Amino acid sequence: MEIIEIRNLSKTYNPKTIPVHAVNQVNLTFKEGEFTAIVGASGSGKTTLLNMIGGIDNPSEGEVCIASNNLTNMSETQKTKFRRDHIGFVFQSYNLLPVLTAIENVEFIMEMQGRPVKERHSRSKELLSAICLSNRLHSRPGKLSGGQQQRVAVARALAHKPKFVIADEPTANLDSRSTADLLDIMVKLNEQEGITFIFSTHDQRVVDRARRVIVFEDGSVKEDYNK
Amino acid sequence: MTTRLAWKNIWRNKTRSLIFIGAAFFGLALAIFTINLMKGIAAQRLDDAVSIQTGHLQIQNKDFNTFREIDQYIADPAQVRALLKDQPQIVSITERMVSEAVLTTPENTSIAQLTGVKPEIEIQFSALKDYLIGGTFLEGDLPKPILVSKKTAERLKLSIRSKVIVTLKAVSGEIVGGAFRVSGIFETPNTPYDENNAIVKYSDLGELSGIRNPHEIAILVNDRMQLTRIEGFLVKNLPSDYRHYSWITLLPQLYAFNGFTEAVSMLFTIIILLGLGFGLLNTMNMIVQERTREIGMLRAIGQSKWSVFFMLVKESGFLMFIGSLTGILLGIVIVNMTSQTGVPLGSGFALLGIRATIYPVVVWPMIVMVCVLATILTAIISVFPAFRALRIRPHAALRD
Repeated sequence: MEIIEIRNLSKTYNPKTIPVHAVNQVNLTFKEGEFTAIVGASGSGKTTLLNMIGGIDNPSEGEVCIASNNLTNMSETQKTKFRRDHIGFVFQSYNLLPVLTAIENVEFIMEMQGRPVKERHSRSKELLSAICLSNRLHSRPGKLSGGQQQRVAVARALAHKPKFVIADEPTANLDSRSTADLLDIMVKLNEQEGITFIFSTHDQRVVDRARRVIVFEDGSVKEDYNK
Repeated sequence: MTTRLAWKNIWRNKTRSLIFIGAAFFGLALAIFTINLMKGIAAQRLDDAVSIQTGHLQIQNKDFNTFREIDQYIADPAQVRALLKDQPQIVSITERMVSEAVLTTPENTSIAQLTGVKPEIEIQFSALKDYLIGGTFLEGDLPKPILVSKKTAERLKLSIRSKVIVTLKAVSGEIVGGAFRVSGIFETPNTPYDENNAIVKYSDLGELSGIRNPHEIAILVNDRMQLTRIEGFLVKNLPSDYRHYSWITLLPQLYAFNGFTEAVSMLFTIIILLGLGFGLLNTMNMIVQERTREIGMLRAIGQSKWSVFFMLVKESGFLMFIGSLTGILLGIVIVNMTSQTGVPLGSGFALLGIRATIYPVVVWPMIVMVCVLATILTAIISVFPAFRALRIRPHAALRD
């Protein structure tokens, strides 16, 4: 079943002066449960594409539909709520809240949603246990390694059971061991929870583990294949 | 959620937060102390002036306040006394006779306002007895006793029991004179008063000037707030030959000085609050600047604009609240302590009628006003950085 549908999506920066076509007439669909890597050189438009899929940037043209909801037609407030309820984000530099502990970071989005404390707590514990951090529940990000922080970020992205997770270069700041651990965990969660993952990366180790690879070049899809 | 996060956020950079909290703490403690010290100065000057000079209210012959002639006395003081008898707010009444006089000794001459008082009543009414630095308050066996200030005593080279010739214009129009003996020397904090006043017995001044009636009936009330009520009563009931005057009319400079001290202390407080406001604005702007990426992340994962806005407003509020509340409490504690022990200012302000030791007065309405001003200021200031945060676009913040 298709969960994301992208039609004629374009993003042009500086349209009135020197136009830069970051994303140019892209058409793509993503099915539920896919584990997709979008690869390409720096500046190829991967992050811009992900931002538009995630509703944090607006396209210049075209539309993004997620589970029959046209993101392009939504107001900022609707998009914010949509992101909160249906999309998980993992960022390159983890972006955990440094004043919260690991479990509080994981609970954060559920707390925004107003979910009961008990539910938040058990879900967060379950996820942190699944990513082998059950012994670091009450550690703040500053006390965790980069790999551990990114695992917490993955748990946060999954905590509210989103329709899909967008991960922008999630392994860029990690060493080999941490990358391998993180990928193992994401593959496991993808299989166990059926959550769709879309990565942008130029890390071959991530590409190796992806089941679908989209090669991006100069804002357009150059290749799109399943392994 | 935003409240808890805001609370934790202010402790991220402890040094910066503590510097701001410390500034608010000391600034507002100082503001509260200053306001109440100034109020103490104003209250002390008023109490002294009212008690020694005018009373809270005075009743005079209708022309006396303008012309101050010896024959402009109260014709029927018993009628006035009867009128005032049943006013519960009145705690003390005294009758005084007043005349311009020349004091002469072999060494020098001085012009003074000579006030004739009934010692047994005046000693209850006036605080002048507290400022005697030698002798007694018109008591003892001296014939025609007179109280002079230390300044007058120095100028005329007088000491206790010294003789001084008092010359004045009698009711008959003749210049009359009499020999008085110094029974006491006073020194009040009010230098201008000291330089221009001497006190004698009512009966002695009456005998010299040829009148028996007072020029003024001075009244003390238990609460200054009740003055309007008594004035209203006097407007309706006082015979048309007499006029009543409140201390505000009789001591316009003191009234203006009190207004001035209040304005200055309020201005001082506003300057402190504005300084804190700019400090808070700077601190919060730095916070927004430093946390742009984090705010972008929060917006990306679904925190609403207004939730971010109120989180930052709460952070400003916490910083100001902790600093100002503790500062105000410290200020109140200091004021309470010094209202017992007094604040030594030295004798340098005597020319302004200010005592060497001032007892601050806790003025709750002013303290509440400082709290309200601090709250309003925080609300206004905190909005600017929070609005700045509203303009952060998640994708741009995360890219940066």
